[in-house]
Amino acid sequence: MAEKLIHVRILRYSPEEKIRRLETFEVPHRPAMTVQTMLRYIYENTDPSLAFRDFRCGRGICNTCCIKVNGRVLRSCETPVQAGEEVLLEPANDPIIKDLVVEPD
Amino acid sequence: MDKCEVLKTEVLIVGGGAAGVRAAIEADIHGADVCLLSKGPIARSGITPLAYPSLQAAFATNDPRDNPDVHYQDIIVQGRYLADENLARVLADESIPRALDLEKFGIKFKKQDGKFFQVHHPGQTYPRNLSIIGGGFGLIYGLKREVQRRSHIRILEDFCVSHLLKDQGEVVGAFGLNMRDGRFYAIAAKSIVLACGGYEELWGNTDTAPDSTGDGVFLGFQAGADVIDLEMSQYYPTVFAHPESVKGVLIQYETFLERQYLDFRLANNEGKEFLPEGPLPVRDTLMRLMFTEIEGGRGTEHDAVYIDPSRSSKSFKEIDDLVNELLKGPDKNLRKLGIDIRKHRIEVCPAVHYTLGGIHINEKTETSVPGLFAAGENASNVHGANRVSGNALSETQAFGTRAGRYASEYSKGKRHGSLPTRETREGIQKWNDFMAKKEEGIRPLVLRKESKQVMDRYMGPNRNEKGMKEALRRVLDLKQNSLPQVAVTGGRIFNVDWRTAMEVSMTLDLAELVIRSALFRKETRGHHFRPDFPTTAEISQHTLVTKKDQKIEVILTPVRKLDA
Repeated sequence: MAEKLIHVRILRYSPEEKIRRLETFEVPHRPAMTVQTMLRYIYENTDPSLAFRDFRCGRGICNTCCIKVNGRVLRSCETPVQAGEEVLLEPANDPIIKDLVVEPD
Repeated sequence: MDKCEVLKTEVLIVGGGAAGVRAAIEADIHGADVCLLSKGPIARSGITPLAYPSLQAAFATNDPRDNPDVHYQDIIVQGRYLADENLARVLADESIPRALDLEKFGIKFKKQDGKFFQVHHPGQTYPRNLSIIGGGFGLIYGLKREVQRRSHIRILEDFCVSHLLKDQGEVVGAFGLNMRDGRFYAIAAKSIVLACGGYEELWGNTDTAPDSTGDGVFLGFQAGADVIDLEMSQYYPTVFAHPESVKGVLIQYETFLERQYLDFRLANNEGKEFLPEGPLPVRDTLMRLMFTEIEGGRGTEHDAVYIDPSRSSKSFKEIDDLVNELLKGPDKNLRKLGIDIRKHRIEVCPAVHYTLGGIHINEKTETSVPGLFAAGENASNVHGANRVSGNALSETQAFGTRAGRYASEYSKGKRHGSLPTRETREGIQKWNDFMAKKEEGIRPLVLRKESKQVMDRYMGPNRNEKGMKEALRRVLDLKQNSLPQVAVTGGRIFNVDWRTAMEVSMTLDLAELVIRSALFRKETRGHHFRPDFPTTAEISQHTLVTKKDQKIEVILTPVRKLDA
């Protein structure tokens, strides 16, 4: 049986080149996967240069992991992703340091 | 050679958790020019935001018999007589005024009739834990507001310090990488406070933050400071082991396992309950029973055991009501991920929760290196071989404040030393070597995973000489053969792999010190359980690691008794 995939588009920013570009990834779905663990999968297995804040307080209050998911700013640590889903990820706010890493509010 | 930016300050604080930020505030109160460096954004990195709400201070609101003397006794007894008595005394005496400082900074506590609401946690003679609204995050967020209000304090976030700089035996500055602009910085300082938190990330099973890599202990030892009791790390029995999205999240085992609450049962991979009949065993016994199942091959595929709701004596309605009353927040979050704690068994294992060892300090937070101070979890030994709930956050405030004061006093009237160019060049070299092309490049996270596996397997609370020698052999092999092959690609700005490479090199050095310390403690005490030395020595002594002619030397040294 083919692995069930999530189709992710990430709006990336290269601080060296000062360029924004949309990049597409396909990620195999895992049980109880969140946007945060999906990003970790990409960073660990597909693209070591992907930058995001991989931190969570475990209680949904610190907002470190906030990312714009399909247009809405959400905590990536508690936002589930489903197999077959199409997800668009963008940085939560300005200023952007790199990719999905921003200076927190 | 790469360029290196140079900054200047009087007191340099390394670490943006509760101890470091409190030290920065205090140094500012004492009129020093302060620079605060944090590896991540303050309140959004490190261990403090993950802390539970407990801060211990003997206000005696629930029981008039409580006072700092009883608090002190509790630290000593529960610490299995390994706490430095003078440090324990500071903690017991000063947690009260420091909690009142926090109120002045606008941090809120749970109150009843205008008085602190105090609850009892195991190891306390009387109820002594205050409850911070918003938990550890509420604490650090309030401290962050206070430090930002002091607008002349320079704060650099996403800054990774990799070297301390010395001149004529004194620390004169720090060197590191600013992730936000990808540049190297040397910061000249008259005194330095290390407040970088613990080294839980040496292990795979932890409930702390991924950046808890023990940078302070590494930096202190590198600069020549003695470190003590590194073998003492405190475990928490029940932390999610799977799935990945919740791995490392602590669950309060009393709520799940106590008969009067949910009455869920611990079960192994054969579905068998393994706790003895009768009351729930205390924490360290409970952990050992869990480890016995896992090490005996009866754990789950994720090296865990199950918390099984199906054998509870409670009806589903009773369970549902209790979950709503006691676990509403976590339950809501878990259900979003399809995990229903009322019905599904979950996988839990013991995880490293707090590291008791660290840089050897005295009650002025001085280390054995002039100009270098340390406070909070990276300083030791305040708690001994076992820490009571609520004393970690009190420690950050009592000792952070002292470090800020004594570091600013030290720097008064002093001139800046000259920054050594050789050490700065070495620092640049070390970072740049990770970026150089390698024959068979290894990603730093691969090496990190391997070293964590070694620590989880051989350096849990049950540790014997044979296993520890094997751990040492493997750690040295990783250091000598794999670390030089670590290769990082990509740009210089916010390159996570680059920082991870530096962290891995630090944790491998620390792992060696931890294992050597543990081998040297030939007894069982607190969270250090030696099946090959099951008894506790009559006289308690610290293990102390010191550097002599660039060689590591471990010795035993007596526990300091209370000054008359």
